[in-house]
Amino acid sequence: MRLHLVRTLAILLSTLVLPGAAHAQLFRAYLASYGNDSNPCTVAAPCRLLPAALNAIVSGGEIWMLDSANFNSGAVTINKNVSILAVPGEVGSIVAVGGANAININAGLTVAMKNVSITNNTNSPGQDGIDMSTGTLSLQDSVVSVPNYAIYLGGTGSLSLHNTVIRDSYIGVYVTAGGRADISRSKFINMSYGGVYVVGSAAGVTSFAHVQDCEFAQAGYALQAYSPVVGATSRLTVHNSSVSGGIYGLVASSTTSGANAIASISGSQVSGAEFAGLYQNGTSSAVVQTLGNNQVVNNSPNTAGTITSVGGL
Amino acid sequence: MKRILSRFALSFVAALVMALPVHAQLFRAYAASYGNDSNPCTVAAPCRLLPAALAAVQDGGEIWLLDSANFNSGGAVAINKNVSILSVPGQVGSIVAVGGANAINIGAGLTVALRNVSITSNANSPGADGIDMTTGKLSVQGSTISVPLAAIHASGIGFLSVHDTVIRDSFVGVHVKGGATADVSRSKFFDLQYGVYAEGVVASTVSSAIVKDCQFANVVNGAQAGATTVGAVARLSVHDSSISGGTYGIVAYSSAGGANAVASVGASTISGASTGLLQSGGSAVLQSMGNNWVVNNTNATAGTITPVGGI
Repeated sequence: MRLHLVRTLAILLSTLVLPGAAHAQLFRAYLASYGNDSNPCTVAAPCRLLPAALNAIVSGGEIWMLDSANFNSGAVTINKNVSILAVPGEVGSIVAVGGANAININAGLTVAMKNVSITNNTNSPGQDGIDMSTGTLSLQDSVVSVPNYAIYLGGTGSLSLHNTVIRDSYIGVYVTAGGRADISRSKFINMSYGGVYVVGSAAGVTSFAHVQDCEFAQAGYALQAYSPVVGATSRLTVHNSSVSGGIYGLVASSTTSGANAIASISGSQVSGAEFAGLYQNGTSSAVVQTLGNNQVVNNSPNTAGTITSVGGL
Repeated sequence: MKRILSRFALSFVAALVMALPVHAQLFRAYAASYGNDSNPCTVAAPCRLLPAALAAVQDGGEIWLLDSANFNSGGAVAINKNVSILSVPGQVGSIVAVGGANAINIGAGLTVALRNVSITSNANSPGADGIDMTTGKLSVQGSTISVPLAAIHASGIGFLSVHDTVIRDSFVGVHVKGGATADVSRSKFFDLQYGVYAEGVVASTVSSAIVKDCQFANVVNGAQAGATTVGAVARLSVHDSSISGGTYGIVAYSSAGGANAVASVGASTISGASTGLLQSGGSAVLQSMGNNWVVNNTNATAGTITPVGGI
């Protein structure tokens, strides 16, 4: 009987606690320069930094940055499905600092970010902008400038990048280990290594990126499909985009036979590359495909290696 | 003469009575985070939520959302008059789908415009569709939609325009059926089961969608014309767009002879899908202009692809 009473009491307590916890998590949390992390993250009493807001919301919720400020003090770990946006007209800043990435996204999550500015703290430089593996990420209307990778996709996740500027970084978008990236209406400027870099990293795995309506200016190896592993595949499709300056325009590179790297380009302009506009490098497992409607001019030279013509459908 | 005077007086009174309610309703109503629904919805004294603003506005009027906030609570917003709703540029006008309901239901036959709104689902109590309409006309521009079911569902002989809008993390992006027509331009679709779906399910109706200058990423079925009822027609035309990833890029599907589905694609890029162009079923036709860039798919095509020349 006593055990029964204890169990009843425990159940009663747990039902009291559970609804309280559910109630405590917000659908939408708010951040502001005038906020405080001891606040409940409501619009009337916003929090100050992203970790507090992430802690306050339910999985699948939203975080609004209400005014222009920086909203982290170290790497931000995203551990639930969330949509993060800065209110239009404001700058929602997140910095990479102290050798860390600005944002690490845990595996399998659905995350959207809009109107954020991800930069580097030059007093104590960081690494990447956003690191993710599996799950999905939509990044829209944003700016990223960091020392290493602006966005690192290292798993079978899916990335959508839209209307975003990536500049002054080592690599813009790095896709490996089966990642899939769609990049549209975005600009890449002054990348010290490359713009979009797709790597075939493991046998039986295909990494992929699609680039549409983008511009690459002084972007090193602007667009590259690279495969160093037998049985691995990297695929890159480019359409209606432009590459100006830099070292190479579009590259397919395979270090060993059977390591497949396919880079395909149509309706685009490649001009002013220091070495080759279109470059097929390494073994015959590297393929550069063109639709025959690209304007490849004023490069030195315009093409290197074998260029394969492919018809439309 | 007395009779004429009486008629005149009656007309005068009738004109006054008719004029009064019109005068009482605003051409433009305002809502704000600092508003209150007992206010008159003027700019000096705005309301708080959309239903109050809709009650205050004249048929054919406007509602302005003045600052960043959510503007509905507790269920679907029923739009029951012609109206234009916009969030002031620089602000986020949020409307949530909550409690199993849609975010917005539009009454039949109305002309509605939405601009710069953000429609999401309340994760604490998820909703269903973003916007449901039947007949009438709807314009959605400069907006973002992310909901559990259909972002926009048009199920009658109406017309829908979607422009410069992002639809993500939903089941269907734009779903037209029952004779609806959609024009979708400069918009991005991400992480969906269906991107744009023109569905023929009602006999003797033609449901159609035109897609121009759009991007579809990680959408299982990118853009699809599907007909499952004999005598129904689904039409889809895609131009200057891209589809990347997903299972199928462009689909024409017919479940039976006489259930007509026609999907046409020109000047577009389909890449990274399991199958780029799919024609399936007896009365399904997939037309290609010959100028599409269908590369880096596991299979470029499946079924019969019908070449169509330009004119």
